[in-house]
Amino acid sequence: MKFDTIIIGGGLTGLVSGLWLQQQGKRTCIVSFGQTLLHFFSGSLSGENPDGEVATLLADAGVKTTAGGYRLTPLGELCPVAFTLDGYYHSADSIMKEQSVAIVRLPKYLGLPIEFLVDSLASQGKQVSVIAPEAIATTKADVILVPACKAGNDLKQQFGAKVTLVAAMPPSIPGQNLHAQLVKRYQQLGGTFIQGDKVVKSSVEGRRVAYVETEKLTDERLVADNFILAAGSFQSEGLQSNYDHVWEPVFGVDVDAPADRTQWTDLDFFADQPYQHYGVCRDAQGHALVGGSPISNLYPAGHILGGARTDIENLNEALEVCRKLV
Amino acid sequence: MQKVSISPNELEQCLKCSICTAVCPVMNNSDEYPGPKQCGPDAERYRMKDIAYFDEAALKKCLNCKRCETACPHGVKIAELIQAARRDHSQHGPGLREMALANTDVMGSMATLVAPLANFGTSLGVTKWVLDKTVKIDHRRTFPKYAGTKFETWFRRNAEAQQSQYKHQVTYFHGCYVNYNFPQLGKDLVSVMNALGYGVQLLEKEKCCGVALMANGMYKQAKKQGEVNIDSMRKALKGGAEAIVTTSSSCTLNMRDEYESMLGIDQKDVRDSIHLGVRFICRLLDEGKVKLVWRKDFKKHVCYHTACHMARLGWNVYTISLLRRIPGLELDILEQNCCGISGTYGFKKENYDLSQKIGSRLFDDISATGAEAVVTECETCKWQIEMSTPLPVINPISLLAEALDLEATAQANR
Repeated sequence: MKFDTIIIGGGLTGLVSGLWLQQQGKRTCIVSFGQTLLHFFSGSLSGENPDGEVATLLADAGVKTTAGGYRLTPLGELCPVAFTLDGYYHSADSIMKEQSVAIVRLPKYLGLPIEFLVDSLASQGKQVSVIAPEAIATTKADVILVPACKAGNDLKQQFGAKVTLVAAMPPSIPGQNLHAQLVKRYQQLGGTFIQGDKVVKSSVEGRRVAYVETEKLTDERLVADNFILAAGSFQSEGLQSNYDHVWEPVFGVDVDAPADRTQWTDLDFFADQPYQHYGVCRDAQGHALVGGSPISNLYPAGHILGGARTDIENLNEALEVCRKLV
Repeated sequence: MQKVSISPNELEQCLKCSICTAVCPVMNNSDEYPGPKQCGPDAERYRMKDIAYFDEAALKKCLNCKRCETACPHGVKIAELIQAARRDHSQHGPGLREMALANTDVMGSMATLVAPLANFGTSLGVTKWVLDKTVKIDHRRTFPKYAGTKFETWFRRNAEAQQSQYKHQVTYFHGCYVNYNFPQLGKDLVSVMNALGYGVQLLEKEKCCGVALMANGMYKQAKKQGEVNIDSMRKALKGGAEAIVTTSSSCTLNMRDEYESMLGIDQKDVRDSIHLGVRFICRLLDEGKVKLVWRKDFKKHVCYHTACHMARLGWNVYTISLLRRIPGLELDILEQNCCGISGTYGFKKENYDLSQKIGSRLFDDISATGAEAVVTECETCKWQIEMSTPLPVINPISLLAEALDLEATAQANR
C-alpha cells in the first residue's frame, strides 16, 4: 500500500497531522497501536497561545471549544488551559465566579473523588452541596457539576446547559468522544486509519525510510514518501525502557536519556521527574537522528519528543512538520 | 531478576490503565460484568495462585468480541486470558442448547435437507416459544434461514467443471453460513474471482472452523475439526492454490490466530496463506496483477460496519480501500461498536436483552447515515443488524459482484 505520508501513532498529534494533510489533498495513513492517551484526556488542551489552526481543525471535525481560561481538575483546582471542549467546566478567571456549587453523586460511581472536590471548593469559600441526580431539576446552585462518565453524559443530554461536566478519572469520556470525532472526520477526508496494529519492522535505505510493516498486515509493505513518528512517550510505547537503557523501538531513533539509570528518577516522588522529559533527537529541520545523523524523511512529533511538553506546543510543531510535506 | 515478560498472553504487560474497560460493550451496558481488566489480567494473577478464584459466572458474560485486545496499548491478550481460563477450568459441560447452537455444520446438514420445513418451523411463534421454554433460546430472536441447496452441491453441479480453465487458482473456505444459509455469497465470490482470472476450488474436506464450538466449551471437537481444515489447506496449497480465500471474518480470525493460541494446532506453514477475499483482491490490485471494470450505471449508498473480529484481524483497511474505488458508491464508515450478537451469545435467553442494548448504539448510527444497506464481513452481525434495523446487510464481495461489470472485467484480465 502506497501513501504520501504514513503517521505512526493515532493519538491527538497523529490525528491532527493526518487531518491537516488530508485537507491539503495528501494521501495519508495512520497506524495506531491500541487506544491512545486521549483516554486520559481532561476535556482541555494544555498550553499557551492557542494556535488558530488547531482550533480550526478541531472545529472542522465538529469539535466545539472555548479558548483560554481555566479548567476544574477532579481535585477542585483551577488550572490554566489553551482551550476546553464545550460542555465541560470552564472559568474565564483563575477564581471560580460561581458562589454555590452542587456536585452530583452518581450511584455506584467511584470515578470522581467527590470529597476532595468538596473540601477544595469549600476552602475557596464556596457553598458546596452534594446532590443525587433526582435533585438536579430543583437545585438552585449557580453551577451543577456532573462527572464526565457515561451516566454523567446521559444527564448532560437530558439537562443541557443546566449541568456542567467535570473531568473524572480515566478512562476519559471526553477523550473517547474526541478520538471518535477526529477519526470519523479523518476517514471522511479519505484517510486510512489502522486501529489496533503495531509497526514491527522498518526498512531504511540510504538514510531514507522506504517502508514499514505491521503485525497484522502480514507480508504487506506500507510505502510512503514521508513518515511522521507520533507514537507517544513511555505509556504508549513510543519510547521503551528496561534496566539498561531507553530506546525508540521502531527505527532506533536516538534518545536523549543518560546511560546512568540512577539519573532517570528523582527520589522525591512529587518532584519533576527527569524521565518525563526524555524524548527522541532531531536536527534543526526536524529530521529524526539515528546514530547521530538524520533520516531524511522521518519526522518525530508529539510526546515522543518529551512527555512533559504541552499539547499546543506539540500540535503546533506537528503542523510545522506537515507544512514541509506538502 | 526476571528482565523480560515470560507469561502467556502478555499478562505482565498490563499496566492497569483501564482503557479496555472503556471499550467493553458488556461492561458499558451491564452492572453484572466486572469487565475485561478485572476478569482478564487482574483475576489471572489470583487464578495462578489458587483456582478457587475462578469465577465462571462472571467470565461467561464476556462475549469474546476482543474489542479490549484491539484497544490495549500494550498488547495484552485480555480476551484470550478470559477464554483460556474458561477452557481450562470450566466446571460445566455444554448443554443441549450449546450443542445445537455450536454444531453449525451438523444442524446445517440436517436443516438444508428439509429447508422449507425448517425455515417454516423456526419462524413459527410456537417453535420459538418451545425453544425458549425448553432450551432457553430467546423467542424474540429471528433465526437464519436455511437454503434448499448447499453451496457445495451448487458448486459441484454448476461451477466446478469450468474452474480448471483459469491459469491461477485459489481454494475457497466457504464456512457453514455460505454452505447452509446463504450460498449466494459463495456464488458471488466465484463470479468475482473468475472475472479476475482466478479459478476457485473447494477444500478436499471442509469442517466448521469451530469458533462456535469454542465459544460453547467444546474445545476437543473444535481441535479435531481444525486439524482436518488445516490438513486440507496444506494439501490445497501444495496442489498449486495461490491462497486460501475466505468471506467470513470470524472464521478467518479463528483459523489464523486461535487455532494456534487456543487449540494448539500447528498451522504456521498455512496461516499466512489464509486471506479474506477482500484482502487477496486488494493486494492483486496494488501489485497491478488484475484490473477491475465497474458498471457505469451503479449507484448505491452504504455504510461500513467493522465487525469486532474484523477489527481484531486489523484488515478493514482492505475493505475500505476496495469500497472507496467503486464509482457511484457513497460510503459512510461507522464508528466501531459491537452489534451485540457475538455469534451464539445473543441467541441465549439470558443474554438477549443485553445483546440488543449493546447493539442499540450501532443501530442508531446506522439509521443516522440514511444508507440503503450495511456492508460487513460477519454473518452473525448480518443476522443481528437485519433483525434490528430495516436495512439489508451485504458482504463486500457481494457488493463487488454487484458493482463490477463482470464480463468486461473478465475481458480485461484475460
